Amino acid sequence: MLRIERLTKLFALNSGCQDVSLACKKGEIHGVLGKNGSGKTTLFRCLLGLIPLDEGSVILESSLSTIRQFGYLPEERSVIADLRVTEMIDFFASLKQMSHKEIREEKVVWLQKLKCEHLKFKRLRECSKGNQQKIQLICSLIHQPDVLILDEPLTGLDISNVRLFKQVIADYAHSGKIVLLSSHQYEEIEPLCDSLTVLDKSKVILQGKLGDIKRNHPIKTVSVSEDAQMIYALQKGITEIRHEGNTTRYLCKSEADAINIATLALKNRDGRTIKVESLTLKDLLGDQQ
Amino acid sequence: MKALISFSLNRRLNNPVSWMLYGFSFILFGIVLFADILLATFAPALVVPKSIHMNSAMFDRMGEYLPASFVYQNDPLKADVLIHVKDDGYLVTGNITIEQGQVIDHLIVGYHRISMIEQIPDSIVSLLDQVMIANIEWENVAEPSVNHSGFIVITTIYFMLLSFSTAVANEVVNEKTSNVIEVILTSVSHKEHYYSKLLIGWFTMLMQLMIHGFGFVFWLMVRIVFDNGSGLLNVLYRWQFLSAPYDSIEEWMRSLNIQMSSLGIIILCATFLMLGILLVQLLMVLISVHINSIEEAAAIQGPFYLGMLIVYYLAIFINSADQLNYGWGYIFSYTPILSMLFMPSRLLLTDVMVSELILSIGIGLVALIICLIFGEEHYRNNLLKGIAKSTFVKNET
Repeated sequence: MLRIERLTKLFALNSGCQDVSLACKKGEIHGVLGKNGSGKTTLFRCLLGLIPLDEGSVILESSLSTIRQFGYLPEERSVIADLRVTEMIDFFASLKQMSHKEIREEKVVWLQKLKCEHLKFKRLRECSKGNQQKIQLICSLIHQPDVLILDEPLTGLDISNVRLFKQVIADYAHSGKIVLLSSHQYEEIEPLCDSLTVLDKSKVILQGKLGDIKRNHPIKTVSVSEDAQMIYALQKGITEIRHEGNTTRYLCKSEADAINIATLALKNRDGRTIKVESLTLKDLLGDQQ
Repeated sequence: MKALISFSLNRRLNNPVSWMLYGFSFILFGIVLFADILLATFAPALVVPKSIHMNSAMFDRMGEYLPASFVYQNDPLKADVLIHVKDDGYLVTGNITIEQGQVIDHLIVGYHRISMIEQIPDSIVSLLDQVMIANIEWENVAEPSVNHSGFIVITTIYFMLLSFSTAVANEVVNEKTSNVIEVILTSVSHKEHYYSKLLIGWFTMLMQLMIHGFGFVFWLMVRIVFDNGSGLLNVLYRWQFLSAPYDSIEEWMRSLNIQMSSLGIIILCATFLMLGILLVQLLMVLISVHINSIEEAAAIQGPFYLGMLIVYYLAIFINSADQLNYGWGYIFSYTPILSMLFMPSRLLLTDVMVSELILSIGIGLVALIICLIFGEEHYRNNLLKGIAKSTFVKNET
């Protein structure tokens, strides 16, 4: 169990994070979301002890030694370019005081899981950005920390690697670990997160289980493809219409309004794709911020 | 910290360039210690002495002065060089270099003077001696060899300082510019990182000395097994690097007459060197936490080298017993950093009291401890400055 209580770290112009509290259980993936400069990275750095707190506390129930409790994947690429992949993994694992035997065994497992066996003897400078990110992920979790902190882990990855990362992160959380992650790719992390904290201007503006948040929110969405003409724009109960390429998304006041529009759309389907969705994270955050 | 140090040492000492250098120095030591054999094989003219023939009267008088680059040949037909005594002078025949010609010239002039003097009555010789030879006594004059060793020590310390003090600072800059520092600090504390950098600098210096030293000792042992080093010593004597001929390295070492006091001076010089290097290394690490790019690092290295060069020339300039005992040299021998050059100079050129030595080492140690304590805080506050998304640190209130 990770419990952050009233964590405050403020810098000039009120940047940083203020009065942030959150709790995560084992096996939980917690999303920390917010605009650039909202305080996500400061929160992570405070948790990792990289910068001292002004106020508040961080409590982690863990059987591991302090050095192994956290794993961290920073947003920026932080690789030693002239090292070989295995050398870099060995280095970061040895910093976490893993034995040679442990490193050897875990390295094989994680290289396999992240489909990087072929990169073993390559230098990091020869690896693509995505592959470097994979190696950094291995470095951050090879010691099996209780809390894995991932700052924008999906940035710069192609579709197949995004899928792979999501799978690895989910599997890791299911093994009884806590994952804290931040991302701007809300659609990608939505299916992953069990709970989330939204920060804005250093403060928490929304927090809770994703299901609860969605349940408490009245708006529902209907998406209709090939609907440049906004056929259902005049239907009652629509609060907002958004265009994404040739798809139109109708944000409705209530579920009944959404079902009404969806029924109409199904009747006049004409080959179009129609989706009735709960509120997405993107909608929610767009709404909140 | 152990992992950080072993990783860094491995990176520094176990890379292709380092291996190339080890190989190069190993081969170089081999070449130097077997120079006589290699030269005898590939350039025999440089090491094989020329055979020279002269009449027996001349050889009786001048044989003992014959330099090692010549060997007497009894048979004139087999000799490379022949000296004929004629009625009106001397005739030299043979294929010789200008330097060898000068040696023979001195030899003949010497023989000629001795022969002439023998024909002059003793009373006139005694009178000539009084005219030609002045009796000079020297008192309180420093031995030239001591000045020479002072210069060698200053230069050695200066280059060791330059070589080792900046290496660690570059590593900190590299870790900062690649953002690796942020990840490392999730595993080790700022304090551990700080002290590990200083230890890395020291260990690197010691290990490099050991590695290169091993190459030298290896070839030295081979040479001792081979011929006790007599061939090499013979060539060195022939080239006038040695003032007397020696049959073995052991004999040459004994002739150096190294006493306990000399060893003490060497150990004290090494102590001042280590103290100075550690202090400069520490200051460089503390400066390096403010550096955020390779360009900035390069901009700082220039003035640093210039500053060290000024200190070096200052040490060379203030290198007399008087200046070191009473002038600026005296003050500098107690000044941290500068003391690593000036106190060894004083030790070599003048008598230094034990209390002065303790005071100088004490001042150096206090300076080091102050820098270590205040530096730790400075290091912690500034290490993450300039890395990605670190504006929060710059704006800290």
